[in-house]
Formats: sequence, structure tokens, C-alpha cells
Amino acid sequence: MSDPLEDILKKASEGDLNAFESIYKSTSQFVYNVAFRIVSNREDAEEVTQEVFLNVYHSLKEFRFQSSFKTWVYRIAVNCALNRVKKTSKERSQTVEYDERLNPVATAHAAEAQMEKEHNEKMITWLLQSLNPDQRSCVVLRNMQGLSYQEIADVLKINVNTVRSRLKRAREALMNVKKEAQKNAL
Amino acid sequence: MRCEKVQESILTDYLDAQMNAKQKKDIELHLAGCVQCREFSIAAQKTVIEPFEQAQNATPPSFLWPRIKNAILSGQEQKESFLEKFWLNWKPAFYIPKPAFVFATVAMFIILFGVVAHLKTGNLSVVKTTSGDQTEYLSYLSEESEDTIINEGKGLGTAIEEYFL
Repeated sequence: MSDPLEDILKKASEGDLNAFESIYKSTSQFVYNVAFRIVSNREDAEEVTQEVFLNVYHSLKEFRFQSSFKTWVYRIAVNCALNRVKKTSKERSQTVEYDERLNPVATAHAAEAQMEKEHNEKMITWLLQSLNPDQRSCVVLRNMQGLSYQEIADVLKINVNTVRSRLKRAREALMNVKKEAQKNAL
Repeated sequence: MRCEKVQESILTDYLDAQMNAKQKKDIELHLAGCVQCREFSIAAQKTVIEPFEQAQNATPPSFLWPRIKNAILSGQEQKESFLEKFWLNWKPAFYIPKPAFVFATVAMFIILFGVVAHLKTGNLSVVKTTSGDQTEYLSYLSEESEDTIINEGKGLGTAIEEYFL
């Protein structure tokens, strides 16, 4: 008996849009989430998600089941999101610098208040933006998507120890950012 | 176990539950006796784990699938239209009207047939001239010339000879 996922993938690779829609339905949530957390705004996340699915559609014939389909889609999503970040990084870093210069105490106050009230979406965005794109990808895949170190290594095509060291540096950076915010708030 | 090493493990394998039972027990033993590492562990949990656990899952907007579908379809159309354009651009170069094509084909066959037939008969005549007929013909000519020499001045006694001579 053939694997239903394999059947759907085969149909989609032959241009069956209904089959491709079912792939979209089962994977778009995590693709959009990864994109949104890495690029940090909805408009870019939508663009990245579209780019990911067009890539998947056109590359389905080349998918050989050497890795899991989900890992493959994650890889495309992370790569597209990182490319988008690289494209827009100059504008973004200027915006962040401007916001922090404008009112660092208010930013820290707001972030802490949101933490306490469990409305921490802005805090997460703020924390993630303090990381470089590679660290951010690891944190998103681990903390928000729940992937194991080995799965992250497979997605990013890096060594497990590199995953570990990126996570360590990312978390050290997050703790320093939080400490700074608390100092500014006092 | 050194605090530096413990804190490193807390930030990675310990908080992510990626260590085996023995490693976990070692860390917990250290935490039980070290206030600094215990505080570090609590702060790390609050800063690098909890906010992300409470994060909401962002849902892709409903208009996204139709947009992707349209992009796929328009991509296919563009591909098709590219091929169409290519064919339309190059079609005149290959296009021959039907009657002219038929006429040209018939003419070509006739010419081909003619050439082939000519070559065949040409070959036959060559074969004939190179056969024994040729020697026969040559001997006939030599006999004729001999007769002419023999009958020189007398002719063959035909009416036309009498008229002219």
C-alpha cells in the first residue's frame, strides 16, 4: 500500500492543484509562523509564505524523500525568511535603533508590563529582534516549533553542536537584553 | 561540577530536556547546593522559555491561498504564452500555404522521378555501348567505309545518285 502523503505529493508534482491545496492546508500554519517570527512583520511573512509555497510547488518533482517532507518545507521556509531579512536588514536595524533611542525606559516598561499581563507578543518580537538571523532561526525552531536539536540541525543543514552553541549564545543575549531593560526601567 | 559548565548546560540541554537521566540528575544535584546557579536557572526559564511558550500561533490570512493559487496559474499562463509567442514569431519562417505546398511536393516528385529515370536509361546506354553491340556497330561502320571506297566514283546506282551525280 502506498503512503497517502507520497500519493498527494506525486499528484501535486504533476500539477494537481487540489492535491497541492491539501499540502498547503497541512503545512501553511507552521510555514507562516516561522516566517512571521523570523521576519517580524505580517506583510513580509505573507510574502515569504507565498514564496515558500511557489518554491515547494515548482520543486516537488525534485523531492526524493531523503529527508522528511516537513523538514524540507521547514528548510525552504527558513531560507526564504532569512533571505527576506537580509534584504530588509538595513532598514530594520535603523528602525530598531530609532525606537530604542526614542524612549528606552518606556520600551522596557511596556515590555515588562506585557510580560506580567501575559500579553507578550511585542516582547517576543522585541526579544527575537535582538538576535542575529541565525540565532533567531534556532530559537524559533526550538522554542516555538518544538523541534529537537537533531531536527533543527537537519533543517538548517548544520551540526548538532552548532545548534547547541547558537541556542546558548542566543539565550545569553536574550538574558542580557532583559537585564538591560530591567536596569533602564529602574 | 563547575558553575560555568552548569549554566551552559542549563541554557541548552537542561531547559530543552535534551539530556539523559544521569546528566539531569547531576545538574539537579548541583542546583540543590548552589544558590547562584539555581537563581540563574529560574531567570533563564522566565526569560528564554516562558515567553515563547505563551506565544500565540500566527494563522495565515485566508486570502493567502487564493493569492498563491493565482500566482501558480499565472506562472503557467506566462509559460504557455511564452511558448505561444515563440511559435507565433517563428511560424512565418516555417509556414508554406497549402496549395503551394502540394504543388511543390508534386513538382519535386516529378523532377525526382525524371532524374532517376534519366540516370537509369543513361546507365543502360552506357552498358550497351560498352557491350558487344559496340564492336558490332564499329565493324558495320568499317564495312560501310570499305564499300564507299570500293564503289568510289560509281555510286550505288540509286535514282537519287543519278539525279545528283
